[in-house]
Amino acid sequence: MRYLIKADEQVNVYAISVDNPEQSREFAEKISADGKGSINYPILSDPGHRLIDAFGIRDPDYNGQKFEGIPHPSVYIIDKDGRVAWARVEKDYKERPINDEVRAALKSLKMIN
Amino acid sequence: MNIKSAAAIAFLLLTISCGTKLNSNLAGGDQLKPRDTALEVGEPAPDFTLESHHNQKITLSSARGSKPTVLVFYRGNW
Repeated sequence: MRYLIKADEQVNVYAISVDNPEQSREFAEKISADGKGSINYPILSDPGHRLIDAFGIRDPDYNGQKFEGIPHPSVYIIDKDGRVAWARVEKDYKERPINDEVRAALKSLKMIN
Repeated sequence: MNIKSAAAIAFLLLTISCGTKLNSNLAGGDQLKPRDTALEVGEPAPDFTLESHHNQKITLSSARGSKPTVLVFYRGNW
């Protein structure tokens, strides 16, 4: 997670899950516990997965289960006018969009130097 | 359509609109409509307000300002 992308002054970064804020705090603490760095951007809560559903990225494998609403691991870049400029939606939960790929996309969109 | 089914539909619509109003404080309200396929490049992103792990309310349209935004959806803490 912390390696996915570092928030900087040129872009806003938000992580989003179905966890509530307290669970997200625990997650952030768990990540920073090894002393290799912490999460320096807000983790947002979408407990009713309304935003996840509005993006159309809910993983249907979890429908009717305890973890219903969990998203496909996805990264969206939203331009300053609010449009989707780049998107990566992983259908295989073991695959994650990686930091380098997101950074390269931001560079090619001339959103970062 | 008979009167009974018309009344049922009217009640359903009323219920839906009330529900939407109740939820609108939480997460962007009417803009958040579920969809079957993933949002694609070029489409407008739905606006939202969500609570952060430091209990701050973040609204995409106001946080965006003049900067691009990266949204990372992940599976959560489990």
